[in-house]
Amino acid sequence: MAEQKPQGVEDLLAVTKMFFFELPYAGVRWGLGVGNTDTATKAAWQGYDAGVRLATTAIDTLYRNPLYGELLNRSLPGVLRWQKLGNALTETFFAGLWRTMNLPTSCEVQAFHEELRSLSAHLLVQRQGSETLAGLAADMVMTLDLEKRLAALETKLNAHTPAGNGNSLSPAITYENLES
Amino acid sequence: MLALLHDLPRYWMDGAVRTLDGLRRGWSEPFPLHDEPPAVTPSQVVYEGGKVRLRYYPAVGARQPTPLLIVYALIKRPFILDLQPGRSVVESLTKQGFAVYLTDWIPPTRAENWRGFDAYVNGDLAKVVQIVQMREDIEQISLLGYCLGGLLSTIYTALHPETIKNHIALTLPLDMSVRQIPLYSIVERLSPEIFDLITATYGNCPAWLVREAFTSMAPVHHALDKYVGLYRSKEKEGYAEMFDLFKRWMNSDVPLAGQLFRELAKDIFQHNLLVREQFQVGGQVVNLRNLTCPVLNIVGKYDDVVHPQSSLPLCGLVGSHDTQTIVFPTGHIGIAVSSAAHKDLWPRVGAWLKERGSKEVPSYVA
Repeated sequence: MAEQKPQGVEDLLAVTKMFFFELPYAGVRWGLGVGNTDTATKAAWQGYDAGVRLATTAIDTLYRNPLYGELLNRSLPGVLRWQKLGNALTETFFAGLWRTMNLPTSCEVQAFHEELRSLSAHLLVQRQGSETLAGLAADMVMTLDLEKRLAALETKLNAHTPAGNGNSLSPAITYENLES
Repeated sequence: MLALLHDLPRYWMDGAVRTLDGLRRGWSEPFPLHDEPPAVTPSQVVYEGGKVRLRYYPAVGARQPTPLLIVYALIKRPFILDLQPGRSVVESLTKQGFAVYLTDWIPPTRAENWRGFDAYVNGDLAKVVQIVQMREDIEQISLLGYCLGGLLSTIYTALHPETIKNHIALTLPLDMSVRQIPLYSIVERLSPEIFDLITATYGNCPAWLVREAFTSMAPVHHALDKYVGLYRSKEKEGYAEMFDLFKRWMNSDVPLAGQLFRELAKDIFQHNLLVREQFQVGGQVVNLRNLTCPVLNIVGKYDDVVHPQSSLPLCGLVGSHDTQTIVFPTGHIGIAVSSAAHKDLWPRVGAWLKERGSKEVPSYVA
């Protein structure tokens, strides 16, 4: 604290000097066309920096003051209790109002969105799965159809071909194959 | 002078709009997480459960054997650790060959105000450590905790030392008997009833209250001086962009779970139970002597959020024989984003980890 005092006094002097001497002096010189704004700008910034340090020190001193802490300690419980009561009244009123008007609360809407997102993701996965399954099923149907046709051809072949000639296809069968 | 009067209000108004937006988000429930800048380092979410999302940042180049889990704080969003190219902790560590995992905490809703240190340390943090162990097929990992995340990681390591190979604490709020920061003098005087009333009124400690607490630490700076600083530095290359990103992070407060807030305010802050070896988590007393792995304690010399004297005692309280303290000339946030930190500090952290990174389980582990 003893070390801070000289700094605080210096800052106060710097701010006072800026407002009452340097800025008016620089302004007069500029008005008379003798000086430029650089000197005034420099003085202003120095004064500003000193002012910020001064304000910060003042606030820190306030924070360290036991009376300020005690004041907050006594006032905050009351403020918080009134806030709590106000919140409870507001929530009760709006909860009743929303139900009367059949409107959902924000939490319910949020929960609804979450569920919708989850269902969308689930549906997408299911759809991808079913596309794959549909593809498999179509392949199977085509395979079965081909097998049936093959079996029918072999039956026809066995009915038309004489035993032992080694030639599995007669011209008539070949012609039918081409037509089908 | 005329330019000053013309430009300064514009800078201030931009900040005011962002501040109001931060307040709006702070009053929302559930907390909207979508207003974050794009990530610098690519990552993927490898786990989500409880109130944590685990992000994985793959190593670049020759891979170090031991992965690193960064435990971020429970206040504000973690993109401060991946803010800009060249000012990203995650980028720096991945480029040094570390597979990095990051805890992306999910803000609690009102229904989750029961969550305290037990839920976060023995629940969420234990789970993500397990996930990292499984993914990396390793028994022990390295842990880095930043600020309140450092408190979580330190408590975790003290309770589960067998899972941790190396422990790094970054601006750790450990010894809370230190009252150098003026605002802490007020908090010290508040009765425990007030913290109970806060959570009884709001469920959790609301985001706007966390925000106002930080603003109150330096009200003149946050209300005016930083915008004046932006105006005065407008010629500096990259300053405005960095300022904007930093402001977005400053307005990214999230609620603090009710039980955790009460334990933090009363047990850690007011009664300093952790340093006094009387702090219990999940019915177990946290004894820092159980921390026997190598410990690196990084302290910001000009830290005005966690005073350096609050962080310094760590190495004297742990049971490890391999401890090191680095006091770096920067502030609380500068330690993560300043160019000096990325030029000097983070390569040193990487080197420290590499020296202690073999897969062998050391003999001092029980």
